[in-house]
Amino acid sequence: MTAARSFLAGLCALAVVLGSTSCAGGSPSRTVSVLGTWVGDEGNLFVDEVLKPFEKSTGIDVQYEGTRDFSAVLESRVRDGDPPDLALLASPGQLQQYAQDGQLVPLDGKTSGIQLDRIRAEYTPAWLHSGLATDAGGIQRQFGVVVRGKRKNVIWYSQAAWGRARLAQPRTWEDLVKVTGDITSSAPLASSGSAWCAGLRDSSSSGWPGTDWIEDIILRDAGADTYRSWYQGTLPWTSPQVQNAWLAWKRIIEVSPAPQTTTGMLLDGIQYGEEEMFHNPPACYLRRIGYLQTSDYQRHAADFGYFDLPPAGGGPQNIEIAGDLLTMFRQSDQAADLVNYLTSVEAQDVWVKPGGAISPNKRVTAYPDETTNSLAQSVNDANLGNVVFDASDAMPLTMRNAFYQAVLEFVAEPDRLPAILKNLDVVRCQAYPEAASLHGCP
Amino acid sequence: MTVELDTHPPASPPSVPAVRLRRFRSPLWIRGFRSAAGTTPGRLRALLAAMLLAILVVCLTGAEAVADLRNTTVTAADRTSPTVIDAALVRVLLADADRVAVQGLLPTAGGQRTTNGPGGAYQDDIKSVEQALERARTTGLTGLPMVQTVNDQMVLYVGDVAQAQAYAAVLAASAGSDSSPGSDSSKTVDLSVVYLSYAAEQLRTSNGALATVEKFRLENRSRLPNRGWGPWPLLVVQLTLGTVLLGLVVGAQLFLRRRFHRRVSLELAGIAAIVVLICGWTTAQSVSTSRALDEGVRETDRVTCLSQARALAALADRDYRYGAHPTLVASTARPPQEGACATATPNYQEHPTAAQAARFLDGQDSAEVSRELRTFLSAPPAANDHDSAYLRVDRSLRQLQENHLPQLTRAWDDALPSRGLEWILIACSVGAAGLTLVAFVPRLREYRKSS
Repeated sequence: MTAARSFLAGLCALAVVLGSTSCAGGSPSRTVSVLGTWVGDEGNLFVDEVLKPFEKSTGIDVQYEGTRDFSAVLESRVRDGDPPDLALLASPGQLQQYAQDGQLVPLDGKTSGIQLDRIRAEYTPAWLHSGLATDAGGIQRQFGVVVRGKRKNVIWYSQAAWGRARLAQPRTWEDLVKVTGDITSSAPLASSGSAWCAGLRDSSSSGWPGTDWIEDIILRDAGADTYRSWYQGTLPWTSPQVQNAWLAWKRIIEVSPAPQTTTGMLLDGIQYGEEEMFHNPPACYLRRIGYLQTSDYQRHAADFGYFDLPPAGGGPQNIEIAGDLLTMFRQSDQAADLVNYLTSVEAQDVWVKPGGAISPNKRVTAYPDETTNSLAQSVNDANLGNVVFDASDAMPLTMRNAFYQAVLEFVAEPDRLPAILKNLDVVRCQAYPEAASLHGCP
Repeated sequence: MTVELDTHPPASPPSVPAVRLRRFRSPLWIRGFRSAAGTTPGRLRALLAAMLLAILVVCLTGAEAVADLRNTTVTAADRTSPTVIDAALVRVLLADADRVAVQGLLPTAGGQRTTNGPGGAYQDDIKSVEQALERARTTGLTGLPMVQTVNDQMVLYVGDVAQAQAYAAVLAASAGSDSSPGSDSSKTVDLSVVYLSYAAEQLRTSNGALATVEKFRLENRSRLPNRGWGPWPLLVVQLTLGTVLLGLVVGAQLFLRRRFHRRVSLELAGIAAIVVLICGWTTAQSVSTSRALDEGVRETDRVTCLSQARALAALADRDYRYGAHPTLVASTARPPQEGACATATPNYQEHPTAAQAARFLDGQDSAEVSRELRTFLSAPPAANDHDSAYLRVDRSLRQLQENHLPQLTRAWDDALPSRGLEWILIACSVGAAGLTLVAFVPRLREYRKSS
C-alpha cells in the first residue's frame, strides 16, 4: 500500500508540474494592429527599421498589414466592425469621411494619450493642418497626423542623361513644351526614347499620375486660392482656369505622335521610368511623380536631379504636398504610444535616412543628401497659405475616381475635353452637395 | 487444487566486505516495494499491476492511433483537399472569365463589335469564383486572409471589365458615325482595350489574383498528409508494449505453473489473443489508411494539375485574342511568377516552352490530351478553328478531371478507419483487464484466507 500511495503522490506531483508549465507564459501580450499601403521595400523599411526599436523598448507587438487595395480593405473592415487600431490614410478626403461618420478617435482628446503639444511644437503647420477634419458635430479637430511626407509638383530627371543630351533646364511652361519638342524631334534623342516617363496604370487607381499634372498647372497658373476652391468643389471643372490646365497638358501630350505615345502612357505602369530614365541612352528623360520608392531613390541617389517651375504670375512658390495620415480607429494606451513614437524625431530620423520621403517633423535632420533635405526645407520654409495638399486626395471619393477616369479618357481622346469636363461637373454636383449648390449646379 | 504457500523471507544480504563503503540507502517506499515483491503475493500484485498498466497503454495508444487516422482522413477529405481543388478551380474560372471578357468586348478582326458584352458565361464564371472562394474560406486551414485579398482583387477586376464594357458599348453604338466632332479616330485609343488590360493586371501580375490564389493553394496543399504518413510513433509504442505484455503473460503463466501448478491458464491465453488482435488490427488499419491517404493526395494533385492545365489553356486563348487586336503592341499583363503545380509539374509556367508543355501532363492519363494541349499552347490555332480548338482542349481536360473525381472519393472512403474501431479497442482492453483480474485475484484471495 505504501508503494501505491507513493506512486500516486508522484503522479500528482507530475500533474502539478505539467499544469503549472502549461499555464506559464499565458500572460496577455500588448499588441497594436496597423493597416497601411506600404508593401515591398517600403513595408520592410517600416517593419524592420522603424518599428523594431519601438517594439524592443516597449514590448508592444505591432502587427502591420500593408495592402495595395488599402481603401477597399479598410472600408470592408470598418463595415464588419473590425477596424485596425491605427490606419495610414493617404487621403484627407477619406479622413474627413471617417471623421464625419464617427469612426475615428480624435487625437486632441484629453484622454487620448497623444502628445499633441509636442507634435505641434515639432511639426510644420502645413503638415499638421492636413490632419484636421470636422466631426459629426461640425467641430474641426485633429483626427490624423502625417508621419511620412512627399513633396509633389516637381519634375525628376537624370543629371547624367540630361548633361549628355545638353538640355537646358526649363524655367517656364513654354520652356517645358520646347524641351519636350526638342527631345521628340531630335533624331539621336528620339531614337533611344521618349521625352516623358509617363505611365498612368496603377492597380485600382489607374489615371492618378495624370491628376498630378492638372493639379500642378492649376496651382502654378491660377494660384493656391483657386486651387483650394477647385478641390473644395466651388470652382467648376468647366471654368477657364481648370480648362486651361487641361489644355496646357494637352500641348505636352500632343508633342509626341499619337496613338503610340498615348497607348504607351495608358498601358505603362507608374513604375515606368524608375530604371529606364537612368539607362544610357535613357528610354525617357523626364518624370513627374509625387513620390519615389525608397529602393528606387537609393539606386540612383547621386544621379537624381529635380526642378519645379516658378508660378506663372510671379510671387512666392506654391508647394504641393501629400502624405500618409496616421489615424486611430480604436483607442488604447499602446496605440497612443505608437502614435507618439512615429511622430518623434527618433522614428522620423530612421524613416527618412534611406531617402525617398520627407518628414513632417521640422527637427529631423537625417536626410541622406542635399536633394531630399532641400525638398523638406521647401515645405518647412513656405507660408501656410502657399502649401496645399494633393487635390485629388483631398476630394471626395466619387469625385476623385471620376477625376482618375477623366484623365484616361482625355489621354485616349484629347479632343473630347469639353464633354469630359462637363461630365466631371455633373459628378461634382453630386459629390459636394453643400458647396456645389452655390456654383453652377441645378 | 494443491496450493503451496511461499512464505520464505527475501534472500539474505551478501556478506559485508572488509572495508565498509558508505551504502546508498534507497527511499523507504522503494525498500518497502522490494521486500513486498520478494514474496509470492507481492510478485502476484506486481505482475497484476504491470499487466494492467501495459493493457492500458496498449489500449490508449491504439485508440489514439485510430483517432489520429480518422482526424487526418476527415481533415484531408472534408477540408484540405476540397480547399486545394477549389483554389485551383478559382484559377480556371478567373482565367476563363478573362478569356470570355476579351472575346466578348474586343472588336473582331473586321472591326465589328457586339453590344451584348461578355454575357452569361462571364457572369457564371464570376458567380462560381465567388462560391468557390466562399467554400475555400470555410474549409481552408491556413492563409485565409489571402481569400479576402483575392475577393478584393476580383471586385477591382469586375470593375475594370465593367468599364471596358461601358466604353465598348459607346463605341459599338457610335460605330459608323463619329460622335465627337473634330476628333481623329486614327489618333485615339480604344479605352475598352485599355481597361481589359487593367483588368488582366488585377489577375496576372506577380501579386495579382491568380498568383495569390495559387499561393493560398500551395499553403493548404502543404497541410495534406505527406507520402507514407501514419501514426507510426504511436504504433511503435503500442507494439513494444504489446510485446512486453505478451512477455508478461508468458512470465505469469510460468509463475502460476511453478507456484500453483496451473498447467494452462485460459484467462492468460485469452489476454494474449486479445493483445495480438488489438495490435494487429491497429497496424493493419494504419497501413491501409496510409495507403489510401497517399492515393487521395495523389488524386487531389491530379485534379488540381488538370485545373492548372485548363487555366493555362484559357489564358493562352485569351492572349491569342487580345494580341490580335490591331492597336495593341503587346499585352502588358505579365505572367505570375508563382504558378507551379507543385508536385506533378515543377516546370509549369503560365507560358511554358514547348518542352515544358510536353512534360506538363507527364504521368497523367492521356497522351492524346497532352498532345492537344501542347499543340494549342505552341501557336494560335487557325482563325476558322479558333473557338472550337480551345473548347476541344478544355472539354478533354475537364473530362479527365471528371474521371478522377470518383477515384478521389473512393480513396478518402477507403482511408476512413472502420466505424467504432476506437470503442472496439477499448472494449477489448476492458475484456483483457477483466481476464487479468480473473487470473490473479483468486490467487491473492487464497493467500489472504490462509494468512
